[in-house]
Amino acid sequence: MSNVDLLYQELISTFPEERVSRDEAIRTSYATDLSSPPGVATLPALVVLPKTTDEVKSLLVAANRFKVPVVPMSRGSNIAGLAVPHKGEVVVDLRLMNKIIEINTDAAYAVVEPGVTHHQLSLAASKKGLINHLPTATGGGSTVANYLMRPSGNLSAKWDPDPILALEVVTPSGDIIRTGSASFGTAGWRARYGPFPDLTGLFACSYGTLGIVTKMSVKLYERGEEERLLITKFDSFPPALEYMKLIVRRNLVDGVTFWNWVWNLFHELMVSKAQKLPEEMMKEDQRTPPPGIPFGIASARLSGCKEVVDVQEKTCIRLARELGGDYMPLEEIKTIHPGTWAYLNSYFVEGIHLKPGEESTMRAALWLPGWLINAEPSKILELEEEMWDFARREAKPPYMFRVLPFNHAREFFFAFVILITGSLEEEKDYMVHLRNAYATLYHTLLAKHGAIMFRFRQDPTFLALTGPYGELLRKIKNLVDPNNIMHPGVNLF
Amino acid sequence: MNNGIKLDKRLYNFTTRCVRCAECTFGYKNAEFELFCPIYNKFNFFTYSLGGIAQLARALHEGRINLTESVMDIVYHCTNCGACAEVCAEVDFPDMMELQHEVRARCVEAGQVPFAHMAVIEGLKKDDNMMQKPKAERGKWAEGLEVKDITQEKAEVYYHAGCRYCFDEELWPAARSAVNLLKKAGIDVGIAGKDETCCGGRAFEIGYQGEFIKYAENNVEMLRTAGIKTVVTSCSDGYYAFKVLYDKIDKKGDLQVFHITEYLDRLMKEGRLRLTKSAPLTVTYHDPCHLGRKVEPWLRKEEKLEAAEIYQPPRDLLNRIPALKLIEMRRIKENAWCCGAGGGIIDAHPDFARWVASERIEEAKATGAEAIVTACPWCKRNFSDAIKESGERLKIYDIVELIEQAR
Repeated sequence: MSNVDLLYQELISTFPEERVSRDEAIRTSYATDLSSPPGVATLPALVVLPKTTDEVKSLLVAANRFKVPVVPMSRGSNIAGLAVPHKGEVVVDLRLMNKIIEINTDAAYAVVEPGVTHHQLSLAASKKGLINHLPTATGGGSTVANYLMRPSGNLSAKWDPDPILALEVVTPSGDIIRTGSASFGTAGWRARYGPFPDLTGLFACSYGTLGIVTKMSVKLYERGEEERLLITKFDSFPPALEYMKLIVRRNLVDGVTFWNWVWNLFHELMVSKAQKLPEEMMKEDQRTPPPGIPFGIASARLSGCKEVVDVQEKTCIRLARELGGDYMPLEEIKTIHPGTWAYLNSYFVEGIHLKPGEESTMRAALWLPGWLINAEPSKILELEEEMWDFARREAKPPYMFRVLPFNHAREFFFAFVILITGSLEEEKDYMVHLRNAYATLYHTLLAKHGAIMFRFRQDPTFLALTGPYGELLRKIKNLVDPNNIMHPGVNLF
Repeated sequence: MNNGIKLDKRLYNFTTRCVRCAECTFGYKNAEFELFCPIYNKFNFFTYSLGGIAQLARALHEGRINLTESVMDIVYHCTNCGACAEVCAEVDFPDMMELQHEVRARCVEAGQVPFAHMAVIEGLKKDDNMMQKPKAERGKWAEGLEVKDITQEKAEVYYHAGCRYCFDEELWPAARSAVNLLKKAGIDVGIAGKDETCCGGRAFEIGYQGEFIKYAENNVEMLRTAGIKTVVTSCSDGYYAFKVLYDKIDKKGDLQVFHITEYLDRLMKEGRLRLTKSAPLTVTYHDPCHLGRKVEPWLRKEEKLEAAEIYQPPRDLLNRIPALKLIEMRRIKENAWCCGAGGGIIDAHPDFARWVASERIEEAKATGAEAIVTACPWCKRNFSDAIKESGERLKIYDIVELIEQAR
């Protein structure tokens, strides 16, 4: 019997039969995501549906004993291959662990399981007059998995530096570790930091390579008596970047994102039900917007007491104008970019995503994220130029970018996305070409601009570039997961 | 691997562009994100969802998997209720169920269909009905009704009973009530009696698209010969077939198609029918999928959108019954939980069908209602069976029976 057979035998004796499967058809639907080229897929060895932390523990202990690797999948909506197997792993589908354990209104946090969606948490928090950080990812995505990857979103300025507080993690040895204030058992889930080194941080950005997170406490915020969307427009990117830096550092907004004109036109597919990308999006010169459309807009969320929000809004508008930008009245955005308005108002201000059927733009084009990287503000300006050069060399229109501040604008997140309008089969060569081009690019971006890529399957050589830090991490990895069963396909180590 | 399955470009694009968010398994915020996909709720693997089936379809298209019995089993557990399509519309068509229908059609081509469906289709071919009953018995439900036979004489309105009402004797009173009500309102109504044939809708849903087209053509030809311009049916599957499916294959022409609830509601608004007798009952109403989600706006040729959902008329009818109190369940209208009988499940997986029904019955009981009312013979049959099996005290009514009692 193979090790997978042995593991299967053990699992069917400990799990209800209907929550463990080695059926090929069942496994097939877990093999691919948006990043899978046509015909390329690795079937998971098994799929298991745990319901409790103890079941996760028994699964990991058994997998570790038989040295069978696992991939945790919280909700599965990752688009970059992080929740699909690459080496025949067991997929641990955590969707049945979908309880909101606690909404603590006194200390303003929630404790959730990995199967809880942004939708669920937003609704539950909202009923208590609170709001959670909402990323641009789908509303059906996992709050736990998304937060572990440093999410961009509507409260990115507010949660600086992180929306996560404490964790419960199961390691391959079967230890159930609670971090932060939760480590004491009597101190609640309110804080990330205690008297000891921060272990929450160890698991953030670890992509399931050190253990499976089974509970997380996350920050919640009071909903303002006023919640407002402020749109400013810019004719180029540099003043917009400076604007975002200023308004975040001066604590004027909860979050702000810059979207270039292509992205704004792309938003038009939301709500409008349009079947095809607008013609203007396909133009060769992607740097110059069509007449009457600004190069880009910065969408900011403001909330709090009305009098304060009024002042904050005025101040933001003044700063934008001083930098050459301008205020874009909501009536104007509703006219020029109605889809953008509907989307931003829902997700940015109301704190809830539109229905996928309204929000989705996939009907017209497939996303192929080029880079999702962070860098210092001045380097972000270099990255814009780098992006245009790269796109001119390697890509076909349309492509688009958005930028937002992280970490109180000490760094910015830069997302560059290429859209594939044809069928994946027709565009397979293009897709493979872009992937290869990206792989080289990441090293260039790090070397030239200090830009750090994340939320992707990694190139294993990246960790080596970090020297002693990487060596220490490897030691920790070996200590926690000596058999390297935790998500080896993500290539972090 | 050559399994002979190729999806068209639109469908393949959908399968490659699904982000696997699984939002197809639960309702949106007005449903508080509660799960509403029966197969996902029962089997829990992502595979049992529209997104999961999309990944399976992608693998079939790319030749990574064969059309095995296991694939067929998954595909044929879907109740075809269309809840998934309420939330998701990823691709360049709003009817997400097209993928499901296409995969089932390929299953039929490959001979991978549930044995029970083969038997049903054999029965259809032989006796023109989905109930595996002799054709000669089709008109029995209407014996003694004194209603015109449109194959013999002219009538203005054709009442199509549908296979389930025609052959399920327990349901005959509802079909007979429908005809009586139409006659009382002065409608020049006729039936086709023993010459009525299946609408083909359920054949379409289980993948027999050729059979569906054949029955669509038969029905349209019969109505053309009889000079019929208006069809009224009590069968929600029939309504879906005549109203939407026939239109999609360009067979509907200028036929006016009404569900009985819609038609009675109109007659009452015109003052042609009145309800005077009280029915002191507390009831809850179950929305049949084929009167709701499955007939919501669909993309017609020239991209014209047409809507045919019937959510309000049954409620208005119930509210007109003196002393009757209507209480709503949690999941209603576009977020309604399916009864479990659709998509051929009642034939292929009766245990699962009853499980789905029992979930709905629990929801109905939680309202405090004494009875669950529906407007579909398949829903009523499945609820009745589930209630009998569990020994529940909840009563089950066809809405037309209640209307007839209150008249």
